[in-house]
Amino acid sequence: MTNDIKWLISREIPHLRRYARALLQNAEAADDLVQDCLERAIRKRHLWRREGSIRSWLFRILYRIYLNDQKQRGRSKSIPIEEAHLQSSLPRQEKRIEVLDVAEALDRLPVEQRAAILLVALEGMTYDEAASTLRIPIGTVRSRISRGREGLLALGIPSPTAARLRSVK
Amino acid sequence: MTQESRPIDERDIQAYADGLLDRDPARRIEVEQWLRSRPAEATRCWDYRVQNTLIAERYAGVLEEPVPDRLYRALDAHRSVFGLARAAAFAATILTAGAIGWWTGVESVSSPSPALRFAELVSEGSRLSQASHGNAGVPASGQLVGGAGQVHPLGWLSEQITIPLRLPDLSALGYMPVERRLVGSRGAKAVEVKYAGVDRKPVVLLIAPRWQDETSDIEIVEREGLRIAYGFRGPLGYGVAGEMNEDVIRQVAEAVQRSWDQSTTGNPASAMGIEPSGLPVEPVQPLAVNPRTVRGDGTM
Repeated sequence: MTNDIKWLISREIPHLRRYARALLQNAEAADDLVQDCLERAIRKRHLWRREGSIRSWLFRILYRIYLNDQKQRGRSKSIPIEEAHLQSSLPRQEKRIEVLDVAEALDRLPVEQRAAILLVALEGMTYDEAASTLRIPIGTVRSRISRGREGLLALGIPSPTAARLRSVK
Repeated sequence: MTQESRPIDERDIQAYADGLLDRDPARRIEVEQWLRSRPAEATRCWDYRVQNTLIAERYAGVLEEPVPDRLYRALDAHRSVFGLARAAAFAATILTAGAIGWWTGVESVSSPSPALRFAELVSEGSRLSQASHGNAGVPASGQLVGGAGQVHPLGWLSEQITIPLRLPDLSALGYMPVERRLVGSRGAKAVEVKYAGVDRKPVVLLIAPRWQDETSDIEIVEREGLRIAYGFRGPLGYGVAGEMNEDVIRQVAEAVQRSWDQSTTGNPASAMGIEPSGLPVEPVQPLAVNPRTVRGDGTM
């Protein structure tokens, strides 16, 4: 059974790395986070119930470690709400943060919004999977994603040019 | 007879943007028709889809990168990350098991396979701590605890052995005490001291009074990645545990012994050292300790 679980966990490592990279914006720190997650998963493998998705379980572990680390470091990089509202009220062409890369923009969202958006947009989770992973109601997932998206729009993601190009494609 | 269409709401727009209506083509078509007559909503929905695409493209390369070996090793090693919380839990579990007697001298030092028994207890404690302790016991800061009105662990221990006792100084090895507390139940109690160090794995020291005088060599056992060194120093039994190699755990154990041995040739009253200034031995208060109710700060 242990080998089966290891095999299942192994298949998720690339995705855990990607999610961690998107959360932390730092490759080395992201791999440290994934390593912590894997070690904890192996230690707690007896707690995984097979009726649940191992993917949700692993991402849940990773996210909780990430949150704990953030709390310990007192890190808060979220964009002030007032600023986001101010920007969203301006015409698109006047937004001053046009040059933000999508990663930079994500990093300026509140962590709970960023986490929810990444699970769905990056990892392709359904809302109920994301809800299970984050241990929140599905309505809260939708709300966080919606607010996160508006935040990204306020930060100029996508830029009008990018949106236009995508529509041409 | 036609079925009345369900109204389109924000949930449909979000789900459409996220491609979650692909498994419900009929609904997807309804949403697309609805958006055709609402350019503003259509633009917003389009922007959401572009956001998703930009995010996916931005991190697509990560999946193709080779996975560092250390991540696969994390699965194979079967080792435990002996963090402060887990380290803290093992002592309480040992005591909860009511099995400290042999260790503290109520039973004979020469009990059969004491090392094995100790390792099994630590291993069990670690396993239980994973399931139930979480971050319990992790200090919020690096400050010593045990203020006024609380049972002072070292005060209690000093009272038990009638010798003033001080914390072993492990600073030469890079460790500083971050928390101490009294753990135990049913008469088997011990002082648990957590040490943390910069760039070092934490160690936990467990000290218990005993009613024998002999000393012993340091014994070291390893179980599931944990190394445990333990021994007896007159009226004290002690054990240190951490996720580290044998040399390091031995150094820690030797430093613990040295801190108590240094003054054994001096004044008997200070055979175990003297509580450093600023950390006076506090009066002992009645104890009714149950490790399941002892909080991380040593209070109940």
